[in-house]
Amino acid sequence: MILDAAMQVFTPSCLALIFMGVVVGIIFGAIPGLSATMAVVLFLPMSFGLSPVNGLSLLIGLYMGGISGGLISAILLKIPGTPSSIATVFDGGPMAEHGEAGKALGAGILYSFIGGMFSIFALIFISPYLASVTLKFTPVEYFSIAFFSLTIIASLSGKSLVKGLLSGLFGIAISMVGMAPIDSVTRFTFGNFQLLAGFDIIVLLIGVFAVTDIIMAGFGRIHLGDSYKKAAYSLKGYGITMKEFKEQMGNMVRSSLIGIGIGILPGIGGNVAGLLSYTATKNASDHPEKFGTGVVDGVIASETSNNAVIGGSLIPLITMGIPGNTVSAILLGGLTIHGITPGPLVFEKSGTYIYAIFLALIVSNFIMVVVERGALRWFVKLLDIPKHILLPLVMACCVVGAYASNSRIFDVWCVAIFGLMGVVFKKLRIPSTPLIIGFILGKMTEENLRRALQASDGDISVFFTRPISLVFILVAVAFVIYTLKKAAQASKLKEDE
Amino acid sequence: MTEKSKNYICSVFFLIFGAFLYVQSLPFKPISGKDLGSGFFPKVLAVGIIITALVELYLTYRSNDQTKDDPSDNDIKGGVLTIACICAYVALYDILGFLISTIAYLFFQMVVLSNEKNRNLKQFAIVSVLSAIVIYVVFNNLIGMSLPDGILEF
Repeated sequence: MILDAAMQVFTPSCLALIFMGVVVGIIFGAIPGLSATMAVVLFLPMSFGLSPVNGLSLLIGLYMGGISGGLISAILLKIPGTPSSIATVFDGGPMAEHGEAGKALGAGILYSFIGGMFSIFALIFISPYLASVTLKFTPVEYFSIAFFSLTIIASLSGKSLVKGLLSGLFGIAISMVGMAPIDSVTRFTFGNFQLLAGFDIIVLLIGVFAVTDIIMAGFGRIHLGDSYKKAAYSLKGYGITMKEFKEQMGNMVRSSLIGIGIGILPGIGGNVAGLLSYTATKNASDHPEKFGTGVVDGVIASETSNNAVIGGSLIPLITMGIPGNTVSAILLGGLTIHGITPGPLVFEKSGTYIYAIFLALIVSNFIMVVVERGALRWFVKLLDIPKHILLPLVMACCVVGAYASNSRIFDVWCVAIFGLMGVVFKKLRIPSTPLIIGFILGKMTEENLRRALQASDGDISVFFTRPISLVFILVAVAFVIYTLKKAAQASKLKEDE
Repeated sequence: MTEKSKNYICSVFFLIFGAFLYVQSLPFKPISGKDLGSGFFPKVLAVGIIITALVELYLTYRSNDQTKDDPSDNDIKGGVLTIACICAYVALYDILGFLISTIAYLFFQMVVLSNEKNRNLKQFAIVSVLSAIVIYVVFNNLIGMSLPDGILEF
């Protein structure tokens, strides 16, 4: 079966399709507002006309490229090209400002490849075992995971923990606009039908991360000319020395495991994986205070784990037919159209196609690392464009991206409004990252809390009696205590000084 | 504006927002007996926001941070003109269509962000027209995602 799959994947037409998928995916990933999801959706109709192996390989290439391309704009423009690259901005952006754009990109690409490889091997070798564990997950466990994930707000709040918390709570509030989970009651729409589906995450991201920066550039336009320096960089290989590679071993393994784990759990996604790995690496580091100022550890953590999500998310998709994120939901559509029914029996019934998917993943990961590295100097050239020309162009791309996500002018307005909101946040020194985390996790938290309590007749002890749930809640509490203790230590140190 | 004043504004804004959210959540009642209803979570959230905002208010009252912003980062004219350009672009996007509104936005925004030394109107005009056309062709013709044609639609 494996040989059969290899004979179908290693044909010139299939390899060319994977190559095209990866290149187009990288471009979609790199442009803010366009995402891996959009790339896969746009090419899905085209894949139906191809043979199953060719069609699925093209989609896999797009997925791989789309997730990997996000790091380019995250580092060079400080705008995450895809939601998965949010955490890459934290240190990738400052590294580029210090003239280390090449190193940040090189390391990001290399560790995207490594994270991808880890997850592909996890998919191939341990998927059946892991899938059986997730079968035991109920809304109780999902609520506890969401609760735990929300505690990362505490350590991503920057200087003010309280303002970070307010920002996170505000993000949850924004996520509640539209139809409520479970009973579909319309909430906080104020009679506007455009708000029924709530706000699009892409629109919020573009507004808060890109439009805000453009408006702030207007307020600081005196510095636009002088802060602009051609980023001088020299890069050998992937910018990482053997010594650094050895030092990052723990970071690499931890981030890969977090990525795979998050990928397996449906409905969480690469953005949370990147943020969780970033926080875990920051907390484990000897120099946590340097995170956010431009350390390569942060870029490595985020990029390793967001690519590790790819293989992870395919585990429940292939073995149980459960899509872990939007892209895998679209891939599920692709599989069924080609007559492949995912489930425990998929290896017996459609083994050739499944092995072809595994091979396509490996091939596309290799193509990604070669193409992204090869074209690196062209990507870095983006920095040579003067900011007073580049920023308006970025704004035009943002508007197009916002419009393209749902083809409605309402989203374009939302982008501008969220941009203005981001400016107010910046002026009042309220961190905006917790807002995004709150927005992503808000709906998931509410839905699973309601489902869990519905099933337990309102008995909250259910969160503490189920072992997996209890572990997540205990870890969350320990994490909050640890962060508060660290914050108290830091403020005491400041007072002493 | 000092840090202390900013923190006061922040806490008062969130206090009002929390109260507003709570009042707006009152009408939602559970549909089935077992469910918490769609108003439960927003109410908990609103109470959380109010408590956190009160903590921030108390901390601000006790602190004495009189740090001020760097005035060179506060070019009001530049900021307001940028916001005006963006709002005009968004408002005219559907009416004038992608091509005309984007060309106009790019040109004016470049003028706003440039200074006397690097202001090159000819270059700005060429870049604006060419990039708008490239984006339009890529989306409309290559990706097949139509952008608004506005007054150019015929």
